[in-house]
Amino acid sequence: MLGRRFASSSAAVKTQFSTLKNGLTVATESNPFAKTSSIGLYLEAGSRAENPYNSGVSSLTTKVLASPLRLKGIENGVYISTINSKEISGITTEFANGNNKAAVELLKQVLKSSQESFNNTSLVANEAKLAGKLAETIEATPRVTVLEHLNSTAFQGTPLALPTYGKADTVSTLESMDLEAFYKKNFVASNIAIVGTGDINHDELVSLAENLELSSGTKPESKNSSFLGSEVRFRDDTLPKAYIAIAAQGESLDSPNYWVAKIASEVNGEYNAHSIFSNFLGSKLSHIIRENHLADTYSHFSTSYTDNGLWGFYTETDNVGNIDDLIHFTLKDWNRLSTSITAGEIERAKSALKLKVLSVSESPLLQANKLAGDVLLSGFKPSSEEVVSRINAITVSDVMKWAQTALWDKDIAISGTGQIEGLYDYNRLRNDMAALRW
Amino acid sequence: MASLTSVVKQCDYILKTPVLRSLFVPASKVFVHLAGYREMGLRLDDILIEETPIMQKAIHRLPNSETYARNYRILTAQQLAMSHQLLPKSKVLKLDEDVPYLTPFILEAEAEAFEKDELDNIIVVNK
Repeated sequence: MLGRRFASSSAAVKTQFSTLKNGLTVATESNPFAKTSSIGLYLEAGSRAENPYNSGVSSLTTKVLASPLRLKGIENGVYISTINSKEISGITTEFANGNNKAAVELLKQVLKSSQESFNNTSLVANEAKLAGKLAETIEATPRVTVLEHLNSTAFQGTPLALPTYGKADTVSTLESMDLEAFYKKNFVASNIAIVGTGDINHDELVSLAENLELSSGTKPESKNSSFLGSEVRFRDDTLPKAYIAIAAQGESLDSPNYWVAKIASEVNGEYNAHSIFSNFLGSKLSHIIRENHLADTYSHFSTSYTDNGLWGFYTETDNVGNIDDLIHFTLKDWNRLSTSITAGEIERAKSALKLKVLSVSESPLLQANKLAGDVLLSGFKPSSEEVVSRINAITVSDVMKWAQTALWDKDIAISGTGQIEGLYDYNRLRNDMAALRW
Repeated sequence: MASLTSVVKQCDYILKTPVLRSLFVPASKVFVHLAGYREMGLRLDDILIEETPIMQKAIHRLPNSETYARNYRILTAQQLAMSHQLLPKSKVLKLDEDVPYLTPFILEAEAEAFEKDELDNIIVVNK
């Protein structure tokens, strides 16, 4: 089954980029076998383009622009929705094959009626209230909030620290003025990409995109970011578990070590105590964690932004008396990446990574979101062959060299909530990033 | 430190070879008689050293009835040792009662440990 996906993804699927005269980028990933299609308008401005006083304006703007036209879209067979992340925001559409014109027409309508939407104070107030509720729900979900706080503390003082969907008390008080300012600054052609996936013809999309009326202003300058070793703890003994995330500074999207960091994160990968497969994971750490019931789940990640990144893990445990052992053994396994990792483990990590990266999502919408990230943030999309060859070319010594410069005795960011009394202080955990034997 | 797997392999070889069999089987009977654990109500598998990870795994996997019987035999033997007594002739364990009940579990656990060791030390060959 995976073979069939490979064949369809590399033979029939074609990815093309174009840049129009006004600076607009058009990207298509045409797959003639797709059952539905998706066209989206994505801008290279997410929560990173905000400031602490208008936190949440990027997600609110896309919602205010998209929601008035939802009903009209459904009448024309186009489902409109929004996507927001730290560096990308987007208004996306999904529709049955062949309905391209209606989708682009709907996006054109969205842009045309932007001022009207912003002037509709009741709409803005309503959406702001909903956005505030969403932010509160996120705060109440430990898994999401711990990772948001990890970003907030690691990149504190820079816009990358702002929460993706905004702070609940800020976003619910935003007004039309804020949305207009954000719109004027960021909805410029050079900042936007029209992305189409599914059964879409690139040239047709280019000609349709030329009809969109976009202001041609200067692209907003990219913001800085810096990593600071720090911690944030929200101890809450009423929660059933302890939720902890620890990360060191990772690799950026354009870093030569991007794939090395990803392989290193797959060496220990993911673990779930309630899954029957966790018995047979093969990583030394999973064996220790399982034998001693130290964690319910853990998952290692290597997140990359345009100029910074995070490399670490997130864990949930109800064995709150032994959090110290959990963190100790995990960080000691990170030390092994610099000292004694074996070729067998790296090969296993490479296979796991290839499986993850090359699995093509069934949904054109998710493919479009991914393609938008590639186009806007990296400027290119690597083909499956290139990804495979890059991953295969990495050796054990590459991983060790990277770990020695990026992980060994480097500052970490810690974030925790729940019953974290047993989570040792910053100095103890920071000291575990190195061992006095080497 | 000989693993039970290697011991079982050697025993199978001995039992297959007639010359060795005629030597070792009577000798083993004498050895067991002189060891005397049956007179304390114990089976051979009760006196194997249990403070190792493999033995602990095997013992954990015993069915409940075997566990209770094993514990009772060990308790009886400890009482006898403390009071410097041996079981009366009628209660001494016979040959057909000295069942190697724990051996299959130990062999299973050892096989798992060997496999884990093999997988931990995989050698990557570049084709």
